[in-house]
Formats: sequence, C-alpha cells, structure tokens
Amino acid sequence: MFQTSDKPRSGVTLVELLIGTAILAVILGIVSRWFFMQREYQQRLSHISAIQEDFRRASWNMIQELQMARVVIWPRINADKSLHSDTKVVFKDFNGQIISYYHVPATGEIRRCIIPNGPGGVVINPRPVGEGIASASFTASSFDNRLISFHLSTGGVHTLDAVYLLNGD
Amino acid sequence: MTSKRGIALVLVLALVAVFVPVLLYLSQTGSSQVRQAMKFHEVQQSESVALSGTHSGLCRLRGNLTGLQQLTNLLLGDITYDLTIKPTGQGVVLQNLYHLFSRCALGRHSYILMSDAEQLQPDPDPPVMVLSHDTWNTVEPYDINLAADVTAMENLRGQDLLGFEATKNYERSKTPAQYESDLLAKQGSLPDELKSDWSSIVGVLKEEKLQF
Repeated sequence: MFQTSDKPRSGVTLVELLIGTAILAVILGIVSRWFFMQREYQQRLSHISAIQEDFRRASWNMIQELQMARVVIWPRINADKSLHSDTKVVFKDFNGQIISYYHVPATGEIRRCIIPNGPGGVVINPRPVGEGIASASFTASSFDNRLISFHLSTGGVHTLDAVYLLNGD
Repeated sequence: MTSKRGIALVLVLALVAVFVPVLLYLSQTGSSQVRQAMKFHEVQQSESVALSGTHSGLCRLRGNLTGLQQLTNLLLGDITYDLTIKPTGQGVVLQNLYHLFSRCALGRHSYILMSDAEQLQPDPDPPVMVLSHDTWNTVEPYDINLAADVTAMENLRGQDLLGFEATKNYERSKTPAQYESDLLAKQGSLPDELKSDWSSIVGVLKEEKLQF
C-alpha cells in the first residue's frame, strides 16, 4: 500500500523552516525597533535644531530693536513688586513711536505693529518677526522699565533671553 | 544526519541574521551621531563666519578702503567666505550706499547675510578732531575723532532724532485727556492680541506723557 524509499532525505523539514522563520522574525522585530528608534531620535534632533533656529531668528530681530528702544510700557512690574508676564510687549522705540511685539497662538507667530505716537493709523508689519513659536511671554524684570526678558517655547524646546534698553526717555 | 544538517543550516542562517543587522545598526548609530554633530558644527560655524564677514566688510567700508567690489573668496582662518558689495546709489551727503552680502558655505549649509551700508567720502585731510560726545545717548561711550564719524552718525541717527523730536513735541502739545483720547481712538485698528489691555497701556502712556 505504502511505498518506502531508501534514498536519503535532502533539504529541510517544515518544522525546521518554521523554527528558522520564527527566530528570524523575532530578531528582525528587535532590530527594526532599534532602527526605528534611531530614526526617530535623528528626526527629533533635526526638529529641535529647526526650532532653535526659529528662536534665534526671532530673538535676533527683537533684540536689535529693543536694545535701542527707550522705555518698556507693557508689561510693568506689579504694584506688589511681583513680576508681570504677558504675551505681548509694548515699548517706545528710539524715535519715540509705540511698538508692540505680540504672540499669535493660532499661527505660532510673533508679530510687530507700530502705533504712531502722534497722528496716523496703526501699521501691522506684513512679515512676522518670528515663526514656529508655540508660546511666548515677556516679563518685566526691573523697576526702571529698561530690562525685559522673554521666554519662547515650542514642543518642549525653550529659550530665555533678556534685553537691556540702552537709551533713556 | 540530514535533520542535523538542516538544524545546523538554520542555526548558521539565524546567526548571520543576528550579526548583520546588529553590525549595520551599530555602524549606523555611530555614523548618524557623528553626522549630526558635524551638521551642528557646520551650521554654527557657517553662521559665525558669515557674521564675521559682515563685520569685516563694514569695517572696510568704515575705513574707506577702495576696490571693495572685488572682495571674493576671503579667508577666516581656513574657512572661505564671499563678500559682495552691490552699490545702490548715493545718500543725502553724497555718501555711497551699498548692500553688503556675506556668504559662507560649509558642507550642505550656507548662510548669506545682507546688510545696508554707507561709505562716506575720504576723511578730511588733515583729520578734524571732534570732542567725544555720546550722540546716540547710549550708556556706552562712543569716541569720535574724525569728522567723517560725526557726519556718518548724523546721517544714521539724524532722521531718527528728528522723529524723536516730533513725537516729543506731539506729546507736549496735547493735554493728558487729549493724548489719552487720541490713543484710545486707535484701539479699533489694533490687532486683537493688544485690544484687551489697551486701556491699561494707554493709562501708562498718559501717566508718562511729556509735559510742557
């Protein structure tokens, strides 16, 4: 009924193949997880680098004007001498004009507007001063209203800077 | 016998399958971190060199050096940068106006900085000594010893100082109530982010308004 063969078997059995495949699958699973973690790490570093560049650009733009400004109008230290932070800063620039930098959460931008200290309408700059900024706060840091610090953050990356206004009223 | 050979084959395959990806992973990890570090290094260095290039160009303009248009392939240490000056016209006291471009490229990173610059005509001969005076009204002393410096500063800041004078005159010409109402009238055209605190801001401005 059944035929038997005396020829020696060659190749691998199904069980051996299954064991081999299972070992490979486990190893590939572990290794691919390492690879994906590595890729994610690289992406995160690049992302942080891009955010820091956005911060540097925004800080540079604001510091250039703020250090030549004359006085910070808003925020001011509170009456009880506690610090006062806000998402906007208003100051008089070198010309005595009223300038404001304010954060727009919806677009993640810091924008600048000029409020003439005299006749004329409000001018909002078409280009933002800073982009890709999730939150910004400006803090009054001195009683003479000439020191302002600002804190920017996006996705767990933070920067803190301070400017001393060089010119008097 | 055949079964043992099969198992040995599978074990060899499995070992190869372990070692190859592990080696690949290790090499990739090492090289990617080095690449990342190099990238940061190149970004920082190209930015610093471009900035230094700008300062160098401005110093050359300040020194009234001629032949500035040929300033290319300069070196800062062993790093090259390009400095290009594009004339844009003449100012009110016939000073030459330029756009100064400073570019540094390292690897795949390239920084280009542009700045406005002006160059006055050669200094008076002999130089006119001028008393040191803090024209910018800054807390830092600014020594002036050439007539050209004075003219340059007057050009740079003259317009700003005139503007400052205009705002001061405006404040002085208004009563506190007029000044407040003028500023409050601008509330409608302010961005939303400023509107909520505008009355408090105007309160501070009114309090610090210049008097007669």
